[in-house]
Amino acid sequence: MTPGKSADNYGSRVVRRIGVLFTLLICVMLTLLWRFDNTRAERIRLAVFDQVMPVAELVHAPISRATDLVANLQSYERLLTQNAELRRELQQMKAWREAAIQLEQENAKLLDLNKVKLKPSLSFISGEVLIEAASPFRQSALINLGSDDRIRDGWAAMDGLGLVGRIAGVGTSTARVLLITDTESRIPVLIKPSDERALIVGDNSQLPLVAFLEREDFVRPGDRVFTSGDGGVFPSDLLVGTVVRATDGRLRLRPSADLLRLEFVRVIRHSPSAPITVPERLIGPTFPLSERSVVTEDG
Amino acid sequence: MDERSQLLRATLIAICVLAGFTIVLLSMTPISSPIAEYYPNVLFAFCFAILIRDPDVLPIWTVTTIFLLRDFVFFEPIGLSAFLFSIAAIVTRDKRKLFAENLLREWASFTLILSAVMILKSLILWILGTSISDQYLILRSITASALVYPIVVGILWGLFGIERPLSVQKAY
Repeated sequence: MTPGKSADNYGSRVVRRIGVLFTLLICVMLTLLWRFDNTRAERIRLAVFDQVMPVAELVHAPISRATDLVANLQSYERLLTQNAELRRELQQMKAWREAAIQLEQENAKLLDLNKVKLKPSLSFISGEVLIEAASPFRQSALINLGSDDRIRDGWAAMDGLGLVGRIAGVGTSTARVLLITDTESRIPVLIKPSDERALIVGDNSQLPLVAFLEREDFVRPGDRVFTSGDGGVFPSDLLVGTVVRATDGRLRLRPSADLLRLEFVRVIRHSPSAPITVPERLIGPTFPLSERSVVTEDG
Repeated sequence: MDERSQLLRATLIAICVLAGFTIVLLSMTPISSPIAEYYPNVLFAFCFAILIRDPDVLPIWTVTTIFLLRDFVFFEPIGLSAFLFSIAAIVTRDKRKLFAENLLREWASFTLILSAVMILKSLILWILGTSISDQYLILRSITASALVYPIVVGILWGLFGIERPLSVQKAY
């Protein structure tokens, strides 16, 4: 090898090494940004998503079609059995419907007798799950609703039956749903019929922990779990799941929502309580008493 | 290196980057499959197998770029996996003759490096004060990735005909 070529090789090796060091440094800086200025980092992430999603949809389209085709073929195969099953279920549903109508009438009468003031029913907006980003470290989904649809951070997301998670990051046309199984997820709940309060703590497993129970003896596997509305982020009485006793002996939650097969989610429009920015308001009004110190319901 | 071989190398790099991006995007398809629940790291399996066989077609910056995209779209700490897997790629590239002596050693090296990355990642997350996941899940992911690795090698051999690392072939 001539000295000129050898010098060229050495030069290019040095340039390559500097390049690698530079990219690694950028990675470290991005991680630190994510940790210490999470809001900005998540905004960058959602901006990346807005760019990546059209490409991702193109890649997903043939896969989704192929799986739909297979599912449809399997469904056709079982058409007769399904028909019989549906007829049977319909019979049962008719009986349940009758019971529900009677209960509704009875409930209306009782409410009227008690003059109960009902909270306004919650409205919702439905969206499609674009991707499920599940790894041993994070559990999230991305939906096709964003700030264009006036989605806000913190709103609850449900599938047809139970709570899926909360909105954590809103892009222009996409939003992230932090699943209740994610390690960052903490949901205050009420366990019925014992009326015990607890926190559902995600640990990335499919059965999140039921933690901070005051009287564990009062809670039994099979008890139903609802949001308590504590903290003001979620509305109360949303079904979350049922309590189960896991193999490790701890009480865990089996989510009512089918988190492994999410297709559509309902985002519940709910204005959380106003955030408390002045801690002394928790203790009492500041003196001298003025209009500013009076905490109103709408904050 | 003449102009033609440079063009060929650039094309191969582009194909590898595209394949990496496609694997990332495919991993996010919202379809349920029993394998997906075990979180096998197919992306690193491909990167490791290619780096062992022909590191020229997968420069370190491409590994960083692919894993950075993965960090973004998997809602993981931005840059952390990209950093750790880039280091893993550098180690793999530098020690590839040692790792690729036979298939069994290659397989064991892959499992070892992946385990080291996952443990380091958990450790860094713990130091940064963020919540980390169950160790059982991480172990499950490592096991699933190790089981997937021979399939990845098989695909590389079946599609591209790359059977053994070139340097090792020459040595025999």
